[in-house]
Order: sequence, then structure tokens, then C-alpha cells
Amino acid sequence: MPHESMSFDHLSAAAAKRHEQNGWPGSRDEAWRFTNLNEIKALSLTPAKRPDSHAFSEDKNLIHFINGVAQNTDNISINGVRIAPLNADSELTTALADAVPHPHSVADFALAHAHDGMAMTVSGQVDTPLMFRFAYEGDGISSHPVVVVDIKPGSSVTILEEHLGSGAGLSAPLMLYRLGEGAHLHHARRLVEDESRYHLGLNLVQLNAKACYHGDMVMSGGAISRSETQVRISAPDAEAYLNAVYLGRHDQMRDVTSRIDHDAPDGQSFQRIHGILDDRAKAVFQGKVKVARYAQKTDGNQMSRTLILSRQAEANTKPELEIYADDVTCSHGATIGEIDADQLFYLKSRGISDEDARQLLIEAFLVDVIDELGDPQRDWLMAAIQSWIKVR
Amino acid sequence: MSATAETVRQVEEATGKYKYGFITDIEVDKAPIGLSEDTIRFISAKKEEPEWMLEWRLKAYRNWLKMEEPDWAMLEHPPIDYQDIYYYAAPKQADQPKSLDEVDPELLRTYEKLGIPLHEQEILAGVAVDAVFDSVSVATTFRAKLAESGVIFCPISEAIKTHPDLVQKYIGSVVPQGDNYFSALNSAVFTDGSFVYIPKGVRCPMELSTYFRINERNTGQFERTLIIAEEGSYVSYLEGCTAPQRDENQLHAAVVELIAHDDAEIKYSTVQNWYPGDETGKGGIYNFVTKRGACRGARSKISWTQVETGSAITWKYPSCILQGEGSVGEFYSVAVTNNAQQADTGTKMIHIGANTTSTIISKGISAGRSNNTYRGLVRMMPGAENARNFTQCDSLLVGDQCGAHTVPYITSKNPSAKVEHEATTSRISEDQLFYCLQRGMNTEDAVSLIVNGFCKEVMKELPMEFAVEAQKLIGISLEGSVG
Repeated sequence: MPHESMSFDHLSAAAAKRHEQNGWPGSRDEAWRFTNLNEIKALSLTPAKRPDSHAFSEDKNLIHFINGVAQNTDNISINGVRIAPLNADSELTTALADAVPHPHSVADFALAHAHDGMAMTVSGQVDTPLMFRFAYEGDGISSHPVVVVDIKPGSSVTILEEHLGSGAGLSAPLMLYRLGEGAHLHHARRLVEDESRYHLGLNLVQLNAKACYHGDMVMSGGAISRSETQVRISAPDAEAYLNAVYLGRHDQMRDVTSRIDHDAPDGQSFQRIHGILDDRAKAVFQGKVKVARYAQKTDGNQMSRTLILSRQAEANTKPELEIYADDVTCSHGATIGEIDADQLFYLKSRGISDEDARQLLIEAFLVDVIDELGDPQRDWLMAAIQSWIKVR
Repeated sequence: MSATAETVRQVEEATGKYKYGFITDIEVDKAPIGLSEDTIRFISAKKEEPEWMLEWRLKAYRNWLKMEEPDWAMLEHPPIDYQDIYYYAAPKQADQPKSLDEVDPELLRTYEKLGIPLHEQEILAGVAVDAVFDSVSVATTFRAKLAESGVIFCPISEAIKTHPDLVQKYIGSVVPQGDNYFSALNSAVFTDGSFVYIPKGVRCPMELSTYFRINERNTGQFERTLIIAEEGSYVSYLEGCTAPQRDENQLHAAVVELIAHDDAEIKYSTVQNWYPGDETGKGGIYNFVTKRGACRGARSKISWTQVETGSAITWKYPSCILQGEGSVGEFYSVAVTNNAQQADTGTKMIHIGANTTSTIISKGISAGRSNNTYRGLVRMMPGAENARNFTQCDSLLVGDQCGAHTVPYITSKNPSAKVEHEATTSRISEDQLFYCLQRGMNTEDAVSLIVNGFCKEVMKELPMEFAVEAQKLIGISLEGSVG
């Protein structure tokens, strides 16, 4: 049911009530069965305060969020991009209220504690890539950025979204990207927080007719990192591409969750998820593709591959298809294993050392996901992958 | 019979009355309706069971009381009233029959209608049949021939008395009483089933087969089957099900346990066509089954093959615990749902030992307004060095009112283990259909041909006796689903 016009405070209060009722999920909750939140529950979290002064950002295309709050955006001057507090945009606040699944522990937590969100409208072809930099700091501080980006029909934009910072706190970003008819979004994300941090994010994408979403992510930071993407294809001929790389080592936990709802005919979705786990790291990829009865001629495709480098690591995969339309082509594939012995042998037989050969194969395995991307996303994501590999 | 006449007959069978829908009228010795410790004592006393068996049942019952009915499967059904079920019904007979001649002729006629005349089977098929009519096994054939090679094949109620040491050692060792809600219920109230013991080094001289039937109104059937294959032995076990037509839903909660020791192999094949309910989903069997095999020994092998076309609700996950080094687990499944049927079925492959391998091939076909779910688990434990799994699950949708779902869980804790999973969902290819039609086939034959082709990888795993019946069943199950 679409909401009547709704204020942010109202939305926040309703979410706070839900979160109070439901709290954080336990392992009996199917959507969270692989990701144990006990460590996060044990943190005594204080919501980040609204900063007193707003710092100016130097760059014209960089929006800086400190502990979830957008800093002064007055100097952002790009044609076709308009930024406002979410509180002042009742249309997008209502859109967010309609888009958020509830109850949803992450969304409810973020909305309950956020002071306000940021609303951005994009119209026309925006050639300059926009950068969202989410910096977090402080022990026991929870941050809850809420961002709604509305891309008008026929418009296109590239957004680079980065999450970084330190301190044993929780980042719980809630993002909504709404694409109008024929709109294009290239959305690249780097989740590169310090190993002390916890990250539970919800990324919502809504696609109108002929809209096209490219979501590419590298997740390498945080003690526990979960990124959930929900794409809703609500009008014909829309396309969604979700590519993700997750990298885990030490005792880290990685959780990539996706859900694609094909609610309209002729939609296409392609997902490619590659993960590498070292030491005692654990990971889960759970992806669901749901095709509604009238979403005929849907093409849904998903491939997940995991490389395990250590004896103590643990990989979990749960690809899921729920299909109610008959004229569809849906498939998923999943593999879990170690570096291919034949490939390793081939390289070593050509005089490459064992260590170099492994490095090469790992890199190739990861580059596969982002290789076809255009710039600046490719280099930007590649840098995150390289810096993770170098530490090995 | 000409192809047209055959089709007409099949359509009549599919859309008209359930072919096997009849009720045999024989006096029945029943436990009072409902479930309590008294019911369990009644069953145990009826079966003249030793004290340990009764204690075992009661323990399971007390466990069951504390458990909750699982709700995670993609199934919808009205709540089951466990107090509105008869837990025991046995055909009244003064003494155990010594031969087929002594068996109630009414019973024998029932089997004839089902197309399994015992006499004929005895002579022609060379199959030993342990027929379960409701809850008591009434006839077992070829016992002598099997006994020669040391094979024990008898109703489990008999085995409890004659081979208590074997039963006590193995029962509940693969599916513990408290494993799940339905296995706990079964452990408390199971009435009969088969017991098979293959001694060391023996290759069972014939395929073993059991037909299960649900007959008495409101009698849930709770079979318990236990198969033990000693070192180096081999057995192939066939299970087929038909049930008379009912208005009320009937509960069926079986437990099957398989144990394979070193180098032993068990092949377990099922064709399940319990009454699926009418076009609107009224009636039909609720089939909640726990089947699990333990490959305890090195290089042992357990293979499950199932063709599921019946039941209003199917909740069934034949699994393998691959403990022994180099042991092999296989799961081949065809599940067909039509009208208002719901199936949530799949397998679990738990790799514990090194060099273990498993193969999962699942073919789901949904038609009508049915929902068909594959739910599977592949788990590589830390010790599963160089283990391998290959999984392929394909779904075929016939019509735009049905649903096909795939829910695999994959977990690996060993880097040298390799897991591969692939799944596809599509409908019958227009090209294939067109190709068949333009060569003069009618639509229904073409669909049957294409669907049987789609299932071929599984069908070829079936023993000969079942293959023909199963192919026909799939055709019949889908009649009327394509306009």
C-alpha cells in the first residue's frame, strides 16, 4: 500500500517502534542464519550525535558523510544534481517509506536513529561521477546514513560510494536508488572499513521501465560486514546487474545478500559474486530471485564462486529461485573450492614461483568480476582489490 | 492399443477417477482415535513387543510432545489435528498366514486391482514382496530363497522379536528419535515396515520390493524401514505406493534408515503415487517422510532414486551421511506436481570423510496450480579432504499458474573439497514442441515425450520393474495440463 505523504520524523518513529519490538535477529531468522550478530549485540551502542559545525568539502563532486551525517553540500555544483535534506522532501520521504521492507532490522535501526537523511535528484546526463564518502569513527558509536537518490526518467549518472573508518562501532547505511523510465545508474561501492568495525547495510533499488542498474561492489573491510541489496523491477524491460567481490581473512565475517523481485515482464537480472576466504574467515552469499506470475519473459541469471585459501575458513552459499511465471529463463550456479591445481601447475611449470602463481590466480579470479567495467569504476574498485591482495 | 485410445484412457484416469481409488472392506482391529501414551502401549502390546521397544517408543513420544511442527517448507495446509487420527489399524486375522493361500482373498484382490498380483509376481518377476496393507505385513514371499543366502527380509515388527539385537543396535542410529517432529512421531507410533539385513559379502539375489498401502479411513501410516548392508554386500530395494481415494487428508510419516558398512552398496528406489487430492486440492495424502542413509564404511555407497508424482503434500529429503572414506552418495529425483499439489523435496549430503563424493540430479516439473520446491543441503565438514559434490537441479514449468522454486544450501569447511551446483528453470521449449508437432505427434504425446526426455538422467537410474510404470505415471500426471 503506498503511503500518503509522510514526514521523516513520522517514518523514523514508526521504525523505532518496530526495532524496539523486534530487536536484532537471531540465527533462527532464516535471512540471518549464517551471520551471527552476538558481537554486535554485545556492543553498547550510542547513536552518533548530529555534528555542531558542518565542514566544507573541497571537491565539487564529493559528498562527505561523517558518522552518517552529510556535511555541507553547498559547494556541490553539478548541472542536473540537486541536494536537499530528506526532511524537506516529502515526496522522496514517502518513496522511502514505501520502499523499505518492514520489519527489516537494518532499515528499522537506521531509520530509528537517523536525525535526517539526504535527498538527491538527478536529471539529465551527468558526466561527472559523484562520490559519496562515508567516514565513520569512534568506539561504540552507531552511524545511520539515510540517502535517497532519485534519477529522473532518461537521466544517467555514475555514483561511487565508499565506506571507511575505524573504531568498534556499527555502520548501518540505508540507501534507496530510484530509477525512472530509461534511467541509467552505474553504482560502484567499496566497503573498506577497518577490521574493528561492523557494517550492516541495506541498499534498495527500484527500476522503472527500461531502466538499467549496474551495481558493483568490493567488500574487504570490517569485522562483520553485511551488504544486502534488494532490487525491484516494477515495469517492463528493466535490467539489473549485480557484481560483487567479497574478501575475508582473520576472523572476519562476510555476508552478501541479494534479492531481486521481477514484478514486470521482459526484465533481466545478472549477478556475479566472487569471494575469497583466508585464515578463519567465514562468508555467506545468499541471493534470491523471485519472478512474479505476470513477469513473463524474465531472464534471471546468477553465478557465485568462492575460493577457500585456508583450512579453517568456511564458505556458505544459498542461491534461491522462486518462480511463478512459465516463460522465463532462470538459472544459478555456485562453486566452492580451492585454487585449481592444474592452473597452478601450468604456471609453475613455466617458472613462476608458487607464491606468485597463487597471487596471479587470485587476482585473475577477482578481476573477472569487474574487468568489463568502464572507468572510473574499474580502477577505483581494482585499487581496493589490490590493496587487499598486497597484504597477503 | 492405439496411441489415441491410450491417451483417452490416460485422460480419463487423470481427470476422472483416481485409478487406484477404491476402499477394501475388511474388518479392522483399531486403536482408539487420538494419540496418548495409552495408544502407544496399545500398539506395542498388539505387536507383542519387548519392554525395551515400548520404552523406546515412549521416550520418542515424550520428546515429540516438546517439539514444534516445522513450518520452513514452502507448503500450505490446514493444521493437522494429531488427536483426530487412528494410529493403529490391522486386518483381523486369527493366525499369521503360512502361504499366500491363507491370505484373506479380499486383500489379494486389492493387490490385483493395483496390478501387483502376488502369484504372478512370485513366478514372473522374481521379486520378493513384503506387502504392507495398512499397518501389518500380510505376506512375504521368497523368504526361503533369501534365507538360503542369509538375507533377512521381514516385517520390522517380526524382526523386533526374532532379531532384537540387530534392531536394537541400529534403530534410531541414523535418524535419532528427536531428529525432527515427524521422525519423533514415527518413532512413537510406527506400526510396521520392512527390515532387511544383508550379511557380509552377499549380493542379494533379487530386487527387494515393498508395496505400501493406506486403506482404513483416517489411518495415518507410520512405516519404519531399516536396511543394513554388511561389509561388501549389495542390495537393491524398491518401494512403490498407491492409496485409495479419500476425502479427508491422511497423514503419512515414514522413517527409513539405511546403513552401509565397508564396500557395501544400497540402492533405494521409490515410485510414489499416493492419492494427490482432486482438482481443487481436496483430500490427498500428506507425506512427511524422513529418509536417511549412513555410509559408515569405507567405499560404501548409498543411492536414492525417487519418482514423486502423488500426494497432496510431499515433505521429503532422502539424505546421505558420508562418513566412511571414499564413500559415495547419490540422489536422483523426479518430482511432478499438478493441480493443487505441493512438493518440497530434495536431499542432504553431509560429507564427513575424506575422498567422499556425491551427485545430486533433481528434476522438478510443475503444472496446474501446483508448487514444486527443491530444497537441498551440501555440507563439507573439515575432514572431507578432496571431497566432491556435483548438483544439478532443473525445473520445468507447464502453464503459467504454477510455481517452481530452488533453495539449495551449500557449506564448505574444507578448501580441498569441491562443490559445484547448477540450477535452471524454464518451460517446455517451443522449438522442441514444434519439432514434435510438425512430425505428426499430438500435443499431449509431445509433452510426455519432452518431459520424459527432461527426466531421462533420473529415469535411467530406476530398476527395470519401475522404469515403465514411472514413465507412464509422468505422462498421466501431466495429462490435461497443456492446452
